[in-house]
Amino acid sequence: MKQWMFCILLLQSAWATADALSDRLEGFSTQKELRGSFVDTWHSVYLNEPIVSKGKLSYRAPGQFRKLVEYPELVEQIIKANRLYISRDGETEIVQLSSQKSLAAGIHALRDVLDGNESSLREVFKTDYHETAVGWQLELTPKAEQVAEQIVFQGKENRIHRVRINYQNGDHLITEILNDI
Amino acid sequence: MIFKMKLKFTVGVLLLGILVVYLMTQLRVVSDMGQFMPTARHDPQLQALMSELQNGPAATALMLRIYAASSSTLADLSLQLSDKLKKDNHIFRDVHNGAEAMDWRVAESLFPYRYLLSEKQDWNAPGLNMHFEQRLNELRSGAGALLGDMLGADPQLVFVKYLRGIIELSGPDKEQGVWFDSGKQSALLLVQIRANKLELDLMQEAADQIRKVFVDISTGSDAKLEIAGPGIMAVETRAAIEEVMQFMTYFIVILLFFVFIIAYRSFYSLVFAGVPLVSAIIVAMVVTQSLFGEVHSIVLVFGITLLGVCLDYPLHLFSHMRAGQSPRVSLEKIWPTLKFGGLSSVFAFLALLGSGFEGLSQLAIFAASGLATALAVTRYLLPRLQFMSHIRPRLWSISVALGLKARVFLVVLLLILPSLIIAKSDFFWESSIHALSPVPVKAREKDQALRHELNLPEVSHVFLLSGTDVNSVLLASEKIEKKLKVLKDIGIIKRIWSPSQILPSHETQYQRQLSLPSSAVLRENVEAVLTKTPFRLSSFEAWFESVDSSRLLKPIGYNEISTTPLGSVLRQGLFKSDHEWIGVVRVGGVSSIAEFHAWLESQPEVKKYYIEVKQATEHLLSEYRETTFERLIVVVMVLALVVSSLSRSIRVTGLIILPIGIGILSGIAMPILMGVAINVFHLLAILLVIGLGLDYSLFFNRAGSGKIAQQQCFHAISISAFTTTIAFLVLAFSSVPVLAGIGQTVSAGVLVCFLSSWILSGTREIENEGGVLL
Repeated sequence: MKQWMFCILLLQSAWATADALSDRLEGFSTQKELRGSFVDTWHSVYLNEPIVSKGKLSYRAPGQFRKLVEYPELVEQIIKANRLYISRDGETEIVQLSSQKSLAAGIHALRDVLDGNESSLREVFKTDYHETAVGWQLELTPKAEQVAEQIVFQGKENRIHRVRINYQNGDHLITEILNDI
Repeated sequence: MIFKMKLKFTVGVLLLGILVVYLMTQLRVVSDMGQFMPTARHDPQLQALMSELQNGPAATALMLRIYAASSSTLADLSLQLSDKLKKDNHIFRDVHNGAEAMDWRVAESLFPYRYLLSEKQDWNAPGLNMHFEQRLNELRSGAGALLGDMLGADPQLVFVKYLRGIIELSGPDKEQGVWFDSGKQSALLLVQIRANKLELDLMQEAADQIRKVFVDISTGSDAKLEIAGPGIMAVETRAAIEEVMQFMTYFIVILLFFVFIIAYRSFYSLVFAGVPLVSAIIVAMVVTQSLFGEVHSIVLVFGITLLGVCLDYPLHLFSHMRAGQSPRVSLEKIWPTLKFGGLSSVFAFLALLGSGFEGLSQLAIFAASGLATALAVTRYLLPRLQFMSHIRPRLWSISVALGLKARVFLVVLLLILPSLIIAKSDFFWESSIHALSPVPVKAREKDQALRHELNLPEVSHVFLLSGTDVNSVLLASEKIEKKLKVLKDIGIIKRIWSPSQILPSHETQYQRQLSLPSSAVLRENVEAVLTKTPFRLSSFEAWFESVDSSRLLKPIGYNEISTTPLGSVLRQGLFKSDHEWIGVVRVGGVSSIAEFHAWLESQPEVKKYYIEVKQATEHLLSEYRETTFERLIVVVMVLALVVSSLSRSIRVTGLIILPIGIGILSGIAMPILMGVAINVFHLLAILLVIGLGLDYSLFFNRAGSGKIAQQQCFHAISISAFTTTIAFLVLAFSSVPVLAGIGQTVSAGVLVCFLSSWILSGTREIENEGGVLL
C-alpha cells in the first residue's frame, strides 16, 4: 500500500512539474518583446580568472535575439533563423549555428524558453523544472551529444535572471540578466 | 519479280528500323563546345588550360545576383537561398555567398599540417603576445563558445585563417555578412554544380531548381534573381536554337507543302521527298556515332543542313516523271548526272577529313555518308514506292531572250559584285572567339559584369606552368607568386591566385617546419607572455606538443588536400593532363595593362610562363579558320578535277565550276555586307552552297537536253533554289548569331549559284555546242 502511495505521489509530483513548466513557458509566450542588460562571466579551463563582459539584451518574438556587448568593446550579436550575426568595427561575420553546436545548444534553449516553445524544448532537451519561494529553476540537458553539457535557467515569474551554460570541456558561462528581461 | 522488289523494299525499311533502334540506344550527342572548337595541337599545356577553362569548375559554376530589394532583404534571401541549395547536394556541390566560414572540422584531416600549410608564424614573445591579446579580446566580446577548444589547440588560429584565406581568394566585398556588388545593390552568390564538365541538362536542372527555391523564399518581396555563367548561357542558347529550329521546321514543312502541291499536284511528293533525306540523316548519325563514339550537336545541325542537298535528288526524279512512264525509267534518264553530282559531293566532303580538327572530321563523315545514302535511296527505293505515279509535275520554264554578250556581262557582274564587297571590306576575318559562340551579346555582357563583381579570376592573364610532378609545378608557382607580389604591392595588380597558396611545395613546408620551435622553447616563450594575462599556462600543453610534432611530419601532398572540400579550389589551379601536371597562376584587377606588360618584359623568367589567353585563342582560331578555308579550296579543286576528267573539256568544267565559285563569293560577301565578319561557321555553310551549286550546274548542263528535258531541269532546280533561298533567308534574321550567319551565307550563295548556272547554261544553247556532260 505504501508503495502504491509512493508511486501516486511521485506521479503527481511529475505531473505537477510538467504542468508548472507548461504554465511558465506559456507565461513567456505571451511576451512579444523584452529588454534588459546583462553581465556575462566566462569561466574557462584556459583562464586563471573569469572574464567579464557587459551590455544590453533584447528579444522579439519569435526567436529574434540581440545582444549588444558594450564592455570591454562594442560588439553586436544578432540571432536570426539559424544564424548568428556578429558585427564588430563595421564588419559582420555570420556564423551558421548548425556548424557551431556549442553555441547552438545555448541559443536554442534561450530562444525556446523565451518563445514559450515547449514542444521544441522537450524535443531537444531533458527538462527538470522546480519552483521555490524565491523563484524557479529550469535545468536543460541536451538529449543528443552536444558540446554544452547542461543549461540552467533561474528566474522569477516571467523573468529570467540567470543563465548558466556548462560546456563539456569544463568551461562555463554565467549570464546575469538585470532589469526587464 | 514483284516479290523480289517487295523483298528489297522490306529489307530496306527493316534496315532503317534497325538503325533507328541503334540510334535510340547508342546515340550520344555531345554539346561540349570544346570538342568543336580549335584545339591547341602544338601546345598541349595550352590545350589542357583551354580544356580546363571549358570544362573545369569555372565552366560549371553559376553566378547568381539577387536585386531589387533592400539590402537587408537581399542579404536574408542570399542566406536562405544558400541554406536551401546546400541541402540539395546531389545537384549543388558548393554554394558560396561570403557567409560561409569554412568549418574547420570539414577539413579536420589537414589540422595537424596547419603550420606547414600556412605562412611562417611569429614564435617570439611579441608575436605570441599579440595573438593572446586578440583571443582575450574575443573572449571579452562573448566569443568564448565560438573559440571553444580551438583556443587551446591553436591559439594563433592558424588553421582557421588558412581556411578563411582560401575562401577569400575569390569573393567580392561583403554587406551584412554576405557578398554584395560594388554598388551595394545586389547580393551575389556562386554556385558550383556537381558535374565533371559542362553538361547542359544538369545545368538546366540546376537553374530550374535555383529559380524554384528563389520563388518559394522571395514570396512577398519584389526581389529578383538573375543567373549567369557559361552553363546557363549554353542552356539559354540551346533553348534559343531549339526555338529557331522548331520555327524553321514548321516554316519549311508549310513552304514545301504549298510548293509541292503546286509543282507536283500530289501530297505524296512531299512525303516521298523526305524519304532520302530522313534515310540520309539516320545513316549519317549511325556512321558518325560508330566511328567517333559520339556525335557533336554542331555536327548534327550543320550536317543536317548540308544534307538539305539530298532534297534535290527526289525533286529531279519528280520533275522528270511523265504520264505513263514508270518512275524507274524516269530515274534511269537522270541517274548518270545524279550519280555524278552526288558522288562528287561525297568525295568533296571527304576532303574535310585529315584537317586534324575532330569537328570537321565528324562533319565530313556525316555529310559524305548521308549523301551516299540519299543517292542510294533515290536510286533503289524511291522509284519502287507505291503511288509514285500520282506525282504529276506541273512543268514551267522561264526563258529570257538574252544574247551571249548579255549573259557574259551578267555573269561577270555576279562575279565582280561580291568580289568588290570582299575586297573593299575592312573586317574580313573574325578573330574573336566570342563570334563563334552562339550566345547573344547581351548574355555575354551580363556574364562578364557578374564575373567582374564576383572578383573571379581573369582568364586573360595566365601564367601556365607544367612539370612531371606536383612539387616541381608548386615550386614554379611559388617563384612566380613571389615576383608577382611586387606588382601587387605597387598596385598594378590586385589579386594573385596560385595553387601554392593552398598547397605549398615540399621545400616550403620543410622551411616552415624548420622555423617551428621545440615544445620547451615554445613553453618558455608562452610563459613569458601569459604572466601578464589571465590565461593558464598548463592548459596549453597539448598545443606545445602538437607544434613539436609538426616538426616531424612528412610534407602534405596533393592527394590529401584533394579529398577535402579544399580540393575543388586546388584543382582550379593544379591539375593533371595526360602525363604532366599543369599549374595555373592567375592575376586579377590589372590596373594598367601597359605597366603590367612593361614589368613582364623586365622579367624574362616570369614572362616565359605568361600566356595572354585571348591572343592564344585568336591564334588558334585563325589556324582553324585557315585550315577550313584551305579545305574548302581543296573541295572545289576536287570537284573541278572530277568534272574535267569526266567531261574532258576545260570549257565545260568552267561552266560547272564557275557558278559554284560565284556562289561561294556571294555567300561570303553577304555577311560582310550585313556588317558581320566571316567566321568558321560561315565557311562550313559554304559547303551547302557548293553541294547545291554543283547540282544546279550539272543539271542545267545535262546531256541530251531537249526542250522538255530543259523544262524538267529548270522545274526541279527552281523549286530547290526557291525553297532553299526562302528558308535560309528566314534563318538569316534569327536572333542566334551563328544561325543568322548560316542563313545569310546559304541564301545568298544558293540564289547566286542558281542565277549564274542558269545564265551560263544559256551560253551553251546559244552556241549550240550541245556539249555532252554526262
